[in-house]
Amino acid sequence: MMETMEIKPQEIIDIPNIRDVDVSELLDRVKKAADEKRRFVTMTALDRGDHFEVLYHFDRDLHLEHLRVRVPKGQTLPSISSVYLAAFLVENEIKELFGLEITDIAIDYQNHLYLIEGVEPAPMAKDKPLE
Amino acid sequence: MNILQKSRAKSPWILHYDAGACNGCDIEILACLTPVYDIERFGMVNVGNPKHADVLLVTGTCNKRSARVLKNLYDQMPDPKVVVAVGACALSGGIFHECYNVLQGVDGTVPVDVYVPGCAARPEAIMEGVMMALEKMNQR
Amino acid sequence: MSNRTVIPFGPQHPVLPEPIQLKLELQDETVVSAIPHIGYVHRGIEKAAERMEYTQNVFLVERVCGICSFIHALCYCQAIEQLQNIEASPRAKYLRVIWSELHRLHSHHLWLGLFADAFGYESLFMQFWRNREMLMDIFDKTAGSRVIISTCAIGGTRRDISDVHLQEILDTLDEVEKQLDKTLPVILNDYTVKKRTVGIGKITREQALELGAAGPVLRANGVAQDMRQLGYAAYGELGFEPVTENDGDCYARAKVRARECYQSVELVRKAIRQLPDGEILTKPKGRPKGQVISRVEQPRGELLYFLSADGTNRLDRLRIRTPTFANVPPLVAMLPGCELADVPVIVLSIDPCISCTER
Repeated sequence: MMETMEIKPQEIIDIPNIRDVDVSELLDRVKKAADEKRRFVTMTALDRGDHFEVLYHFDRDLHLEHLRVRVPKGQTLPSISSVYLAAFLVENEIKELFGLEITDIAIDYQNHLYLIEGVEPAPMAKDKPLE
Repeated sequence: MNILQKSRAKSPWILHYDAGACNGCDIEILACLTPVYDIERFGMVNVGNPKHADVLLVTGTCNKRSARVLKNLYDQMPDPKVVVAVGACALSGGIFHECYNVLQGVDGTVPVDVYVPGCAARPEAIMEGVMMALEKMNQR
Repeated sequence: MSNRTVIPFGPQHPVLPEPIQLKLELQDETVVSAIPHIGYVHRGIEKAAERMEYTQNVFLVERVCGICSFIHALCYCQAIEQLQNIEASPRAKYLRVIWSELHRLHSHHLWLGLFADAFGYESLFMQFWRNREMLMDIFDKTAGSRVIISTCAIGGTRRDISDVHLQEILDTLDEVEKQLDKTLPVILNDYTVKKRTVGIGKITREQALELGAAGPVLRANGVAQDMRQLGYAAYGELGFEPVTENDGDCYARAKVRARECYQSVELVRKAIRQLPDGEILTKPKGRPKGQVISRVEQPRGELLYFLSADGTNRLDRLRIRTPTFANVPPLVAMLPGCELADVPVIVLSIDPCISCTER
């Protein structure tokens, strides 16, 4: 603990080109990205305690752009796999490992992409033990 | 040693299954098959069919889904059979031993005869491990 | 008469060193659809990265994939360096390029061998793997290990390469290039090989972009995207042009990787020629705080790390997006319409690395 206090507070670095969007306008934004021929790179989910933060990463000519939505726990997120089919794998992953309900995924593995039946669901959530 | 045992020890057929490895040990097993190490000079052949195999080489931490496949493969192999666990992950889970989807080591799923340590196990060690397994097989 | 059959391909299959299952729906011998089933190698590395200290994670991420372990460590270390606002020394940057390119070279040799094996060319498989051993010897000499070399550290590299070894690398590369001149024409010009690869597993440029393909799969469709263009490590100073092909079939993907072998040889030579003197490790200061994305080019394509750190000695989140994960949807698009006997060739043409995919 002492060691942490000696260190000077640093400037907090955040990723550039990030845009916060609301869940309701997400699909329109993603469609716009698809119309502008952005390549879907991946999605990242973060468990922030009372809500999930989901980032959508797009690439155009080696420049990354990101969309960020915040989903309160217990609410659902629409799938973008109708626009970018490539998202189906990562959406299944987030649904299974974080327990965030994503609706209408093109190929839905019903929470069995990685884990088999009978194991503890949503192991990546912060309230699950680290081991 | 009767003639059956002797010929078996001179031409063991190997089945390799990756139960959740990082690929490091798998490519070293493949390297054993290729010219520099050339495991075929001991009569060993890598086969894809468990019913043809005498030796099961397992790499990687077993996870809950691959444990079932591993058990299936082991059960299909005819007796006498030996199992060689290759690499730190197959021995104990290695660096992943505390991950949520990992069973610590493959010996909880199938009985292991020879443990080959290393991350990744070197080809020489893998060959030595298989030779030891053959000795064990002939003692049965 | 309609004869639809579902055939499971994998998880244990002779051409696949790693377990993945494809449920293939067939109309007689023709594939109608394919659904990938994964999860046989899933360990939970992203969660483990939250438990271990951020300095220990270097060793963890190296074991995401044993084939390109150095490049995983490089991507992670670059992300931490950005968060700590430090920069690796010039010499370390060049050493990173040397080891990265040697990894790419050995990975492409490995793939070319497996690819040859997939269409039944076993002697060619042996040739490529024999040549690959020369590269493994370099890792053994310079790092003390063949597969997971653990030389990348936060702030630089953990080891230096001596002048004697640099000369040995140059000599080995001459030999590797000589052998490539002999073996690659077989992959590229042989009649039977072309019969198995030209026009097989074809996707269009639009499909590749829409489905988010990465690496050689994308570049085989004429899209010049290679993360080395970003100029990380010393790539910016070495002058780098991505390799592209236009046909988008298995043959084009093989051609991209074949040409990249020569490119890697050249990059290592150039890096050794320009290698500056100096320290190899910059001391990190402070703890990482903030969010950062780091991208590098793996042998299989674009690798992305997302890090979120809150100033403690553990990370809040580590997200790893590997190229094979991105190449699975294009694979699903390549398979319909092909014959069952071509499935192994097409699956291998994306250079699948399942342990990367599932982490």
